[in-house]
Amino acid sequence: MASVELRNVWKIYGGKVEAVVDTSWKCKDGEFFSILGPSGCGKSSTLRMIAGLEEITRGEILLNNEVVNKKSPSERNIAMVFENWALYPNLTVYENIAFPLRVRNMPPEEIDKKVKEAARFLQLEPILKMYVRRLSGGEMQRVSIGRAIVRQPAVLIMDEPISHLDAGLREQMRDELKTQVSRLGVTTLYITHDQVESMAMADRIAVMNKGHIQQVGTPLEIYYNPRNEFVGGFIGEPPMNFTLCELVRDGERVFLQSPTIKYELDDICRTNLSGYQKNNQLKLGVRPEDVHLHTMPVPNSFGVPVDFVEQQGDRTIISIRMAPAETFLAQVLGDLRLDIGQTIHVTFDQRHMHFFDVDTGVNVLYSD
Amino acid sequence: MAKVELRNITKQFGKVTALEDVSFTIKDGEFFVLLGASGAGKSTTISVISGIELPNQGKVLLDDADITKDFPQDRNVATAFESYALYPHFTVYQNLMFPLEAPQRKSTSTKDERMKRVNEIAAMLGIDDLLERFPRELSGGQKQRVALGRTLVRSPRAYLLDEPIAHLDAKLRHRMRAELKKIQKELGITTLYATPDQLEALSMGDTIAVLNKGRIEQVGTPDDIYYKPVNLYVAQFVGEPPINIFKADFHGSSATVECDTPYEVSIPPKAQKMLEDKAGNCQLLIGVRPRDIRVCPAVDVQAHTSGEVVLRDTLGQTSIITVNLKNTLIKAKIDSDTLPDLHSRIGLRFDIDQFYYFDAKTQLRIE
Repeated sequence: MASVELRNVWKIYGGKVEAVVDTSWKCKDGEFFSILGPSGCGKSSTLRMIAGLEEITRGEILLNNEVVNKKSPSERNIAMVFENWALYPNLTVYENIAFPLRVRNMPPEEIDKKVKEAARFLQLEPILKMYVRRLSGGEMQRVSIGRAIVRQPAVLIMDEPISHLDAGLREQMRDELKTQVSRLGVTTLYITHDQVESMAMADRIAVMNKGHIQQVGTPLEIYYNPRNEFVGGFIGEPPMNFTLCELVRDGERVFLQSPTIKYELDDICRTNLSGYQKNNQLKLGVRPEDVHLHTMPVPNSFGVPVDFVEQQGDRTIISIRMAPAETFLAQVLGDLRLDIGQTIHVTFDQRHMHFFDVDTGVNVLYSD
Repeated sequence: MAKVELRNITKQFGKVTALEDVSFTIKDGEFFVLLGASGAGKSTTISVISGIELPNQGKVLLDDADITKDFPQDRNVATAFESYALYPHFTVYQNLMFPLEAPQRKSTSTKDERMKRVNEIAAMLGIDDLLERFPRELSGGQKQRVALGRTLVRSPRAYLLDEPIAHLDAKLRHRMRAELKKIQKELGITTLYATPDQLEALSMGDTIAVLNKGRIEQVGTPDDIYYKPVNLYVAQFVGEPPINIFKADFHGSSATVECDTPYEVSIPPKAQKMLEDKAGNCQLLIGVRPRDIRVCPAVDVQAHTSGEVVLRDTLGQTSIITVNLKNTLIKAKIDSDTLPDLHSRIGLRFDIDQFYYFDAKTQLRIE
């Protein structure tokens, strides 16, 4: 087991395309660390550099505090689990797991011991003699983890291992994966484009976009305190609502104003924003669960028509029309029965309002 | 506009039965969702209605007229396929215009009308800035919207949409659901919408048919499907995370949940009467949705049972915890503010008014 550290790592293809830009982070020994971002964000280039499959253009990669830039993939002792599991269909579970040890010419008794140990950990003992083509998806996944960990790698890398599965099965696999990996205690780098997977599984997440690290933190840190507009919008489902507005000061009172709303800020928001002087234009970000709906007007509320209602059993997602070409989503736990077109009165949870700089996208209330 | 009816449709591919005795009616102007896991027979159903496949048995009726053997082009239904099927050598604009320039439609509209229609639909789907591009220059989500647009430009008697927004990102998906439903209501065109996503079905359907291994399990409104599932399969398919199911022994005013450490749950009076009347001595399954479970200290007298937290999935404001009660796993959906520590021991309290009851043998819901 080992820690993984990136120090100012760059990957530039053909001298021009900057796939990974000045990336630094450290994944601690035994941590479940997720690299999250949309396709093309540089997460695959990052993992390929860590595994030694791709040259590092600039910077250093350290395994257990030792620079490994010059080491070959096999010297780094990193195991990978892929999306398609890549098992040998004509071999038994036992032989699939034993394979990496056989190619290393390990004595048969030792192989047997290690395979059985891995099988015990992953609860594969009853099916060791079966051919993998007969296994369920969950079993195949465990076999591929077994094959990856049997040689006791320093780091386990998983590249979108469950993204292609149907929704129900994916959740089941997610639980299983997390359970198995935490039992093994092996340092794990988990690469995905699915924010739900990262949020649900990871100890910490590194969010990437366009080659740049956007933020590194625990799931809840990133959720409640996004560093910029990209992170705010990428994490959370339904996604965060955004709208441009202006801060209007009227004596002691401060209002958020847009063509459609005028909304007074309370003490908390006012105090938080008091240091912000750059300009009065801001982008407001509010998560759907922080958009509160009332059937009657309440102090500091504004009325808007209901545009669409998604009744989903344990939650209701309501689309409200803020302006002719702008809707906000609100989320309410449980059932809420509303008619399309009816007027609903809106307030925001001011403890969880986010404000982003219009030019840079930086969260002006962000604190480390 | 039309009523679409399937009567006892069976479709076999060699020895494989893809659809078995499938019957349902889509009312005129209705948004009808066909919900099922992959391989359930959704696409086959669409192929049978559109005329691409002939059923082995049964009838397809369009406004009470038997169209089972009509050619696809004579049915006037518009289909959007999951695999897009765009013309690679046409631009987006040409792809969208194509169905409107078919000889029999071209004569009924002017060029200006056709252009207006294409532009309207493109704007609605957010692809109006892509009109000059070729399909190869589009992302998967963009291609999917073009395929959907090519279906929506027509005014057929029915739309058949096969997972039309499966490949869009989260933000766009919510918008598309609203837009699609709105345009469907505006035009009033009968729509069959196939999806494996139960949230989409609950959000959009006027009526939902749950398809499982080629058979219809239930047809009903979203409320029916969620609150009154006919059987265990439907109850477990709808709702995320899935409903928790326990084996239980019913005796009078309470039931004993069978597991390594059995515990008692009281049964509300109304349900008691129903169970006495309908269930008698049958072995019972109790279902409780993750949202109907509260977390309390393990020693709380109100706790029904207690166990160890083995998984915590933070999803933002809400989290899903998995609690191990001696080899039975229970999932609860709770507020992230009250998230218990991993491996801590906690108590669980069920909202007994929200229990679902099933006959363990037949797996049918008792009501």
